[in-house]
Amino acid sequence: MKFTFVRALAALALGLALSACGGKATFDVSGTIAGLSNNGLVLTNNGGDDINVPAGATSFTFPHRASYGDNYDVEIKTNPDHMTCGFSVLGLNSGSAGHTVAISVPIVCSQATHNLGGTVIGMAGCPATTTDAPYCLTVVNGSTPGGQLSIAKPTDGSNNTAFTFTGQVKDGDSYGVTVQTQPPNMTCTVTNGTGVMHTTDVGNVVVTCVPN
Amino acid sequence: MKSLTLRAGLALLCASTLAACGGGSGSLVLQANIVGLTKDGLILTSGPDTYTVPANTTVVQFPTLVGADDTYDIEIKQQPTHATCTLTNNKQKANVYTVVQPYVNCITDSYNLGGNVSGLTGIGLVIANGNDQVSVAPPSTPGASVFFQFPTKVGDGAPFGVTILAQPQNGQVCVASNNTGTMPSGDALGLIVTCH
Repeated sequence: MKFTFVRALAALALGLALSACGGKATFDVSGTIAGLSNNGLVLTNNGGDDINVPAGATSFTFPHRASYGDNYDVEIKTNPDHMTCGFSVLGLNSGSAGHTVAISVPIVCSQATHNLGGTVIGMAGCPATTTDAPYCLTVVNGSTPGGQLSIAKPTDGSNNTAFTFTGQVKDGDSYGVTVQTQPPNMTCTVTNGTGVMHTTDVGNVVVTCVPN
Repeated sequence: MKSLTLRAGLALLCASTLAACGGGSGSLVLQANIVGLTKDGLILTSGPDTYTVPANTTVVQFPTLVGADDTYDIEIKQQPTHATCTLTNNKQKANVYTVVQPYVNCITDSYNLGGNVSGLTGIGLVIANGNDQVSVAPPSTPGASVFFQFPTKVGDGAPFGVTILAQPQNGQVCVASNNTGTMPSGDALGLIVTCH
């Protein structure tokens, strides 16, 4: 009787010990977020386990933990409204759980930006493009960085040319294109020159030049 | 024995002399990285060197080489006209890493941009300088002109171009004239917006 009791106790202890150390270690699949000021961000892990991350969040954790040795792959399924998010350290968004002490995927979001540009037409009267006269006219988008562009007459003899400002415009920002420097003996006017940038590039600004 | 002491003493003297004058016979090129310099007039000094830095310079390398572990000291002798520069990492012990760390960050003075709207009777007028906007309400006294000014100042020498982003809701059409140019070294408050 006493003997079986001891044996049962030993078996119980062994069972407890096994359950304590036998299960694999698991890891939170989580990370940090900087600059998230709009709603709409959706993250996935291994193509599922979607989480919606609200505006203002600075961290996230997926509902399902990863077991030691499981692969995780955090991706941005949907960008927030008017923003673009990315991984601020490449390579940390996927890997094998347990490879690092904790899984921490750093995400950074910023306002999306788009190109602003259009066409100049009627450049027949522009001086030929030379080193002394490299440009015909200068257009500006207010005082914005990269918002000043000098435009040359095409060297192939064409009287029209496309242009794009080097400075992109943030989604939701206004833009306004004016001719800062007119060509000699011509006047250029702008149509479709002002508006608010939305979710796609704007390329319909038209600068029309006519002889004075 | 006595000769040995003498020789050792001579060696010590020699070593300390070398250490003392090491500054002049350095081998490291001291560099200052310059950000945002749009104006002439900046003069930097480093040891015996005086360097006049033209507008739009991004890197300055001082002619006098510095020795390892010497302390270098870059200072601003004269600020640019209409801009203010500040120094970071300008005083450190020289080694191959620190001699490229000095930074000169310059900010061009900026001024107000604005003007007057005449003939405005309706609400909803929005004037833009690129991404900077100002809403203008009709005057409380009918027929008076309304002063406006953009919230963001514009840097000396930067371009500006003002457009009508939103016309008044009552069907008036406003036109900006005298509306583009280069910012002077002072407020530019001569924009004219006329509404009909």
